[in-house]
Amino acid sequence: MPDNEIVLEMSHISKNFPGVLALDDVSISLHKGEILGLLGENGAGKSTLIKILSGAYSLEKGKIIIDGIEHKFSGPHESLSAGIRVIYQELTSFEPLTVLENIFAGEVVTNKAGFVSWRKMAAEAKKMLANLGSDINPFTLMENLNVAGKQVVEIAKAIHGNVKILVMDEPTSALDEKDVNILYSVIRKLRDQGVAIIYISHRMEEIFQITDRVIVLRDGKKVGDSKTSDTNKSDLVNLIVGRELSEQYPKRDIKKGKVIFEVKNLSYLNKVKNVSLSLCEGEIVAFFGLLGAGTHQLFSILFGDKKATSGEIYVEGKKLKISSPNIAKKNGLGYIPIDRKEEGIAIVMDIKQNITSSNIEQIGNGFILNRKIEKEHAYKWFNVLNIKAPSIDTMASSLSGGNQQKVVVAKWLEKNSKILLMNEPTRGIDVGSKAEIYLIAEDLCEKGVGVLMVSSELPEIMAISDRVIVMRDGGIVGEFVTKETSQEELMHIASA
Amino acid sequence: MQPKTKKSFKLTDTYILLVILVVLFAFFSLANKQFIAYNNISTMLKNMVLTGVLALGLTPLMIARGLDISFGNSISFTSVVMAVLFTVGGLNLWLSLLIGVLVATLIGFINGLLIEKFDLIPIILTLGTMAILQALALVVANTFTQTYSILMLTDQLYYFATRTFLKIPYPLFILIIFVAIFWFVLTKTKVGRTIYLIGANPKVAYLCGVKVTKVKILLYTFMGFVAGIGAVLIVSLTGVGMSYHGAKLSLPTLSAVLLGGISLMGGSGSVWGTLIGVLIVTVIFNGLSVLNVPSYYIQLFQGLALIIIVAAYEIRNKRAQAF
Repeated sequence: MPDNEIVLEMSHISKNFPGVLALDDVSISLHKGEILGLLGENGAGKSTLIKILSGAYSLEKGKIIIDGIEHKFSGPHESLSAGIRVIYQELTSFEPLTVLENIFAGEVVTNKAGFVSWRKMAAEAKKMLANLGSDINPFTLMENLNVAGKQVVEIAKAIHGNVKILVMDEPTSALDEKDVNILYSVIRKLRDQGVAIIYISHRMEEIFQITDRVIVLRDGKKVGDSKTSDTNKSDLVNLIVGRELSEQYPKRDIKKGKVIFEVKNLSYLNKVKNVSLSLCEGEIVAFFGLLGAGTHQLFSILFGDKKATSGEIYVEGKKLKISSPNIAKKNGLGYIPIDRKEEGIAIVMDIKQNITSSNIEQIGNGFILNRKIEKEHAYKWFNVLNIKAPSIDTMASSLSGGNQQKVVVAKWLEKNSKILLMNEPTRGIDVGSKAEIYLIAEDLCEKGVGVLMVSSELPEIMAISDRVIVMRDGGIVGEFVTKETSQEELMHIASA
Repeated sequence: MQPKTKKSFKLTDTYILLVILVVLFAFFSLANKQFIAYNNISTMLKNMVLTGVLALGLTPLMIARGLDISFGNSISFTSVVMAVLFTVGGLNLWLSLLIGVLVATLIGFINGLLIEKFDLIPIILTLGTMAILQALALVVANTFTQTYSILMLTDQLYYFATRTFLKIPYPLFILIIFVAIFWFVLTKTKVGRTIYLIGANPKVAYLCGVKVTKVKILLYTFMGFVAGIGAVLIVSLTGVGMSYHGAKLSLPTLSAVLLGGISLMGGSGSVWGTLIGVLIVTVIFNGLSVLNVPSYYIQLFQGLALIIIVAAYEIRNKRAQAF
């Protein structure tokens, strides 16, 4: 399908963030009417690349050439006027407004008298949607559409006007199979109209179904670039993951102790259904599930952030009602949330204040805060976890993601938690820090801590967990000893 | 990457404010000699006590992302309650004052309870209580005396309001004690750290096991108590309980707090910042009235000053964020 006309060339792009080289001399090209798959793990540099293309990040090193003209975007509006559109994973539609209003957000079509002409706009919107093969009524409220419908409207909105390059960031992550097919036909239609498409996805099957060419990023570098038909799934997986994580971090054989944490028939509305599990001292149990499987909700409940509608929780054999994080903490639980910046770390405070934040009551006698003790405690974990910063007085905001995450971990080491809940502990952090987080988890296990982990990265689960529990639609659909299963099996069960 | 520590950042802010204070003081002293006369300084300090005490009460509350704008009307209402109890009811002076302070504390507690339990926006909820308290102040005063102002003159209060110790007016000692307590709590105690943590990120604090709701209700309750102390001060300084006593207190107090470096987003601010903010606001308004600027222009200037302060901080923050 692709003819030879090159629409976009990004050459020798590098981007530095404090402590991380997010992109390292990456070059990509894109042809007219081509669907390019962009692959890579979380933190491989995909979103950084896209944000540079969309003008959200400034270009520091390298060139962007569109239709032969070099561009230097100083903001998203310049990227827009160069014909680039990005549809992000989290849709940005205005829910309480109509489809029509969403498509024409920011501009209106007027009649001769200068009034808004709803009739003209509706006709045009209908035409645009029909072009995409959709019969959505333009006057439907956005919030009444399903995710696929919203996607279609987002696409209509994005391609409205002069569009040369459309970037789609994991467009199918919340879609079921039928809706995925609708989306595919829309994407193919666009391609046939000459739009160049960059398609980001984690799902291997999709890449082979929809893309013409694939580029793989790993740790900020381009490690693969070939026609989709010239490659196969296992080659791609190897390129994405690099060496098998389990080869890099051989799992230590840690002796398991007694059961310290048990959950029986836990439910929460219809999001979590009848979940039971148990965790031993020194054990790492991983939860795996696709988006909406209920793993995140489950962890929120276990730490008392949400209240279970039914079920029982036992800590070291004692039945508990965990109705707040305070109670969870007092009973030896620690929680590393998925959203580090919003829930894990207070970025306007410094490292030592963050580390001691879960343990303020122990820093000094009575109601006095003893700063000397605070410094000693913080300094200890600062060294143990090898946090890379000038000092413990450094503000959390100036740390890299990996070091921020170490601070969050340190918080619960400081509290001496016996049961650690880690929700996507390595999301958005560099490979080096990931490895360190794994080592920390294993060190903790050796000291008798039990770790529950949610992860969407299968290589990570395979590398460090003892057991894997797979969830789908809020319920447990499979439980495996990690050594006796495979990534393929887990993915199959999670998505069946 | 230049790591900026919080300490050096805060100090620069406080220094800038100190320089502004000195410049303003020098300007008014040169413009009118009367400004630095003992009598004027003494009046200025006495006036400052009320703004100061209220601003200090707001400091921990606003650091923890709370806000109360009803304290002025709480003072009006409480002063009326005190005066009615004492003058009409014939109650013992100390008991009247105590009941008044308790009433104000209760008002603060109700504010906090409603805001935190129902997750309401503080400025809206306290705007509501503000109107209710104003009305109640008028109703109570009117019911018992058919006026809006009730005499509450006693030797003890007069003595407290007018005497000095080492040439320092008595009420100023209240402010000094408040500064000492607030400074100690915010910088030296676990509660102080918890307050900053809540302001820095309430969700993070909650997930660290901090009882955010409880702490914030306590801070609102304490702000109520502070308003009660404010009512005692205003009754002693003026000798009346009046339904309009607190009407003009919100603006200078909030201006002082915001000037002192407290952000509506929480997490930042200090007792010293607030104190310098109070001094600056007091110097400006006293200075202007010494220069015989008509009061309506002073009010115009008050509004203008508030907008300038907020805008200046916002601009500076935007600059700090740009990279």
